[in-house]
Amino acid sequence: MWKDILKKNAVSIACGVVALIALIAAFFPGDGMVQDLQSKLEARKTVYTTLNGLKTKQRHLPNLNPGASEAELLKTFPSEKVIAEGEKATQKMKEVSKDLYNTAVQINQHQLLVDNSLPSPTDVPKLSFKAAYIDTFKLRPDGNKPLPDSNIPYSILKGTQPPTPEEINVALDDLWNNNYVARVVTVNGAVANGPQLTEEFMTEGAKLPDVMRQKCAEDALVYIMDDALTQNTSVQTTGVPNENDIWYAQLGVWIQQDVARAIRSMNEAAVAAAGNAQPAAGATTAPAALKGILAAPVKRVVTLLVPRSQGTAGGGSTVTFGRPPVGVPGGEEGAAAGGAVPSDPAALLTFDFANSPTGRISTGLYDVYDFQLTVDIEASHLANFINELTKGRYIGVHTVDLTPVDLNTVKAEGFVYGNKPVVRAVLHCEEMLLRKWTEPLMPAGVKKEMNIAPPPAAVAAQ
Amino acid sequence: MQKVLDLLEKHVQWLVLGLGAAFVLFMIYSYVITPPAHVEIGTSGMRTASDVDSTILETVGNELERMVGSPYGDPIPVQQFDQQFADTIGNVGVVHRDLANMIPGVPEGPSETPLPGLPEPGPEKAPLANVQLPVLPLANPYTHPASVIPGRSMVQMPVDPNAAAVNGAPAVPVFDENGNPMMGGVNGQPGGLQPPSDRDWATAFFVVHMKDLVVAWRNAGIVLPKVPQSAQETMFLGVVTEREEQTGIDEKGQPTWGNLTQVKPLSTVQLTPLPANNAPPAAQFLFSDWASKNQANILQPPFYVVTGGDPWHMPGETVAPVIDPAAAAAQPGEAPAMTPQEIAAQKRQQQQQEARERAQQAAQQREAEKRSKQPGTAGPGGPPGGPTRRTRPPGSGGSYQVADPRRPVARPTGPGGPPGYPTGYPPTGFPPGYPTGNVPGRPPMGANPNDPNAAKTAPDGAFIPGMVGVPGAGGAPGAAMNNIVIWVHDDTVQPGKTYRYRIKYILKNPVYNTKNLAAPAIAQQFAIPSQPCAWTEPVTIATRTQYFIVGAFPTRNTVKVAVYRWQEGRLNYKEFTVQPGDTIGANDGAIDYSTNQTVVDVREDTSVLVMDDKGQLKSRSFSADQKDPELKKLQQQANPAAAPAAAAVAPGAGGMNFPPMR
Repeated sequence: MWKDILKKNAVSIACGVVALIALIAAFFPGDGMVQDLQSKLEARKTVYTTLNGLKTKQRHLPNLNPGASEAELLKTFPSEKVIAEGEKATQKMKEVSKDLYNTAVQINQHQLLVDNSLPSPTDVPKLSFKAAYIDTFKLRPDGNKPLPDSNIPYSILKGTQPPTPEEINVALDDLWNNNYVARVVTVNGAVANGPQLTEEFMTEGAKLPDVMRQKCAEDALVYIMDDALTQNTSVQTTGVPNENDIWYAQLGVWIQQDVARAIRSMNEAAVAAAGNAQPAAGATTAPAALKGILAAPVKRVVTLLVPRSQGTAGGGSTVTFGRPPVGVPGGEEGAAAGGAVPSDPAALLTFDFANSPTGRISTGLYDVYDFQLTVDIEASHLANFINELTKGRYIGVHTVDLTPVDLNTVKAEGFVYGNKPVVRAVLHCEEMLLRKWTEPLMPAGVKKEMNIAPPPAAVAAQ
Repeated sequence: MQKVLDLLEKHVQWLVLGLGAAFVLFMIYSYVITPPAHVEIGTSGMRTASDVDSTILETVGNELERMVGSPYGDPIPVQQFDQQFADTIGNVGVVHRDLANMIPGVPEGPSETPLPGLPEPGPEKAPLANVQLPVLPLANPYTHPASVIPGRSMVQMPVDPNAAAVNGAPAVPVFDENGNPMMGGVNGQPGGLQPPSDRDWATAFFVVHMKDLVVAWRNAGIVLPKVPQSAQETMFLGVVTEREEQTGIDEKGQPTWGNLTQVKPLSTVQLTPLPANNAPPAAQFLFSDWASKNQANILQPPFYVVTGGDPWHMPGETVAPVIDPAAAAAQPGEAPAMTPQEIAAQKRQQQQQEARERAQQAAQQREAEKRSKQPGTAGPGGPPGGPTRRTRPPGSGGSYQVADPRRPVARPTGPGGPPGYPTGYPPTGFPPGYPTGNVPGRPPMGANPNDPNAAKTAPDGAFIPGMVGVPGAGGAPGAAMNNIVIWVHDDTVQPGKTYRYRIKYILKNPVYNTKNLAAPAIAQQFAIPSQPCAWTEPVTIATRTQYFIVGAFPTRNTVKVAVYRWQEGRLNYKEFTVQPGDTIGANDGAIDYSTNQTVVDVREDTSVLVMDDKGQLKSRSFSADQKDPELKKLQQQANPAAAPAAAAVAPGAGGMNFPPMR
């Protein structure tokens, strides 16, 4: 029976078997080929995604503005030409930065009192420095010998001191000897006109001290007494000063000269302005021009304290000058304790606001030096003075203490300030000196104290 | 079963055809309707292997090729930062800012642009409008019978500092034998130098009661806890003195007053002018600081250094007259004449001595400065922090004199003294022989501690009325309050005239420069003046020249007249025997005894008819003058020791007794 069925339907059965085989073949061997084709298509899609990303990606120009928080958007595709333009701008930015650094160094750079006195001087420059240093702080010239331009109290500040009792006595002597001695009349060996001469002399002599004080104030720009500035006694008293003390003394001179030049500049401008005073509205004549200290805003440099610039007697000091840099004991964490690090001007700046409101501390780019200035200044000019102090100098004023000055009290002490309100201002300041020019001048001992290692190139050359 | 087989056999072809059709449909679905391999490309939809590359090229490929080939355009700009840096470090464009807003205590002005990161200022709180300016109570005249004390003294005045500014010659410091600065200068500074001169003067005393001030504060709403204690502080900023002169007597016998004058302070103090209410805050701040250090000079200014005559004193105090410096210094024969060579030699010696003294003075001054920096070492009555003042030695009475070894003892023009002259010059520029001065006119503070009316200490700078006199200012308000005594000197009075005085005082507004305590208009007012107080009792300034008939001789037609002349710091006395037609008194050396009176007649009853320079006649009587208590007073002053004895002498021949001779 089955044979009959197979015979009668042989063709249909063959067709069915073929259909079954085709069906099975479609699901098993053909599926691998489809997957392969699909993966190839996915790869092409990745190519598309990449190309589309290249086309639509947001790109920025090189950030050439330090003040901008975000770089400008690149509005075109970074083609080779565009990339070349960006590289050109970046290179120019490097050059500008270098110019900026050089300008900053040029503004900041100070001159040595004596050439070759740092970093490794021989005895001759050391002794020359000592002499120049003493001259720097002299209040007035000795006889006809002029003081150098670096002299702070006289040459830079054009300062003065109220006449001393001894000077007044000398003037009184001269007055008596020149104008009165020849007029003494004696009769029978006795002076006949003593009371009259004495009366005249006393009247004239009583005015003399204040005439001298007034002239003294008009001839100078500021009062400065001999203890106002900070001086390195080690350099002044040691036979041949050591280079470390010379360094610290030189630092003190640089800072004090900067402050003195600011005071001189401001006072000179004010005195010149007073000399060009115009008549008030409705008046035909200008008021009598105030002169000297009477017109100068800064009346007196009371003290200018530069810590640590005194150095230590006998040299070999272990003091640091200014705020300790990174890695120095007391400084910020950074290099290994006691390990010297080379100065890296490109290193990220660090700040420590426990030291001062500015947070500046010594880094590989600069060293920060604190100082304190106390001046008697016209109240209305204090803000202007702070501007002048920081003008063209890396000086920052972070704290100011004010006390009113009683003009009668200072007048009784011999200081003639005029009649405008005056305050005694204590300014807490800091000055930055860039290592680019200071480091080559630092003696080895100072570098060691400040944990400054030689630059890597120098080490390699050794 | 057979039946099923038959059915299959009969329809098997349809079954196979069905399977084949299903397979065909499956194939169409799988390969035609849903391709087995495809991807989505962007927004272009599904893509198969046949068109995927062309689609990519069309969608991004061509565009990318175009972009790669395009140029950039303008070069990328690079700024020159070195110039910007130089401008920044050079403060280019920095605008001057006035100090007014930088002084501590002076409020900041409105900021033009808020600092970035700071919140915008919020709306102002509504002011406490119920805090007002206190209406100050009056300063009452001192409750002592003599609320105005007159006197006449030879005084040494400091050089006028204003005049000095013109001629460039202000005061010359004067030091005592210990090198301490002597009083007599401006604001308690070392004394200036002017020749001593006679001065008629009057000092009027007033009292400000602290309890009245406390009430005024309370009425103005300036009380705790509404107003914090720190905003209850005030200080005296000034005292304005007015004077009236008696011009006559009205029909009811009452005095009439006129010539209202504002009395200027003595040149012993240099008071800073009070700034206007609309002055810059800096000016008011500086003035406040000055006033806080000069309360004593404002309220209780020092008197001149008295070198002769009446010493300055408080009401109720008994003080001895100042020793006549000229008489004390005039020792005949002590000033030998010297040759110029001797002068020079002595000057050299003196210079050496002075150099030694200066060194000693410098050391002492340094020591004094150290002491003065310690709390509680300031001199009595001096401003806080002021120089140490020389005080009167205990038990020395109203005055004492200090011998300065640097000064020659002889006084060149001393009447009756030797014609001495200096042996050189003093280093201080002080005229030789000048009296070295006494203690300052101001008495030690608290000289009359039993007077319940007043404590004489001036408040120390700013004070809270309820706390004055409270130790440590920590006591309860209103407890143990002291009153403030104010005195004013007037050295422009004229002998023979009668005056009366009143003052108004000026306080610093306690709520000045505050916020949210009072209305802004009130908080911006710096000073508050009081109303003028009641006038003091009148005071008459004694004339400098008086005369009395001390002897009348009708038979000889002469009369003996004693003329008392106050001059050069002392009472001078001289008798003149005159007859009708003679003027009474004349110059005797430097002393001017002239009276401008002429004797017209000497009568039998010992009365004398005299005529003044205006032609008015007046009768003086020997007996009436003898009973005049003024004569006895003058006799006492002219010679205290001899006066009682003279008073005991019985009338002699002619019935006259004579005043004691000097």
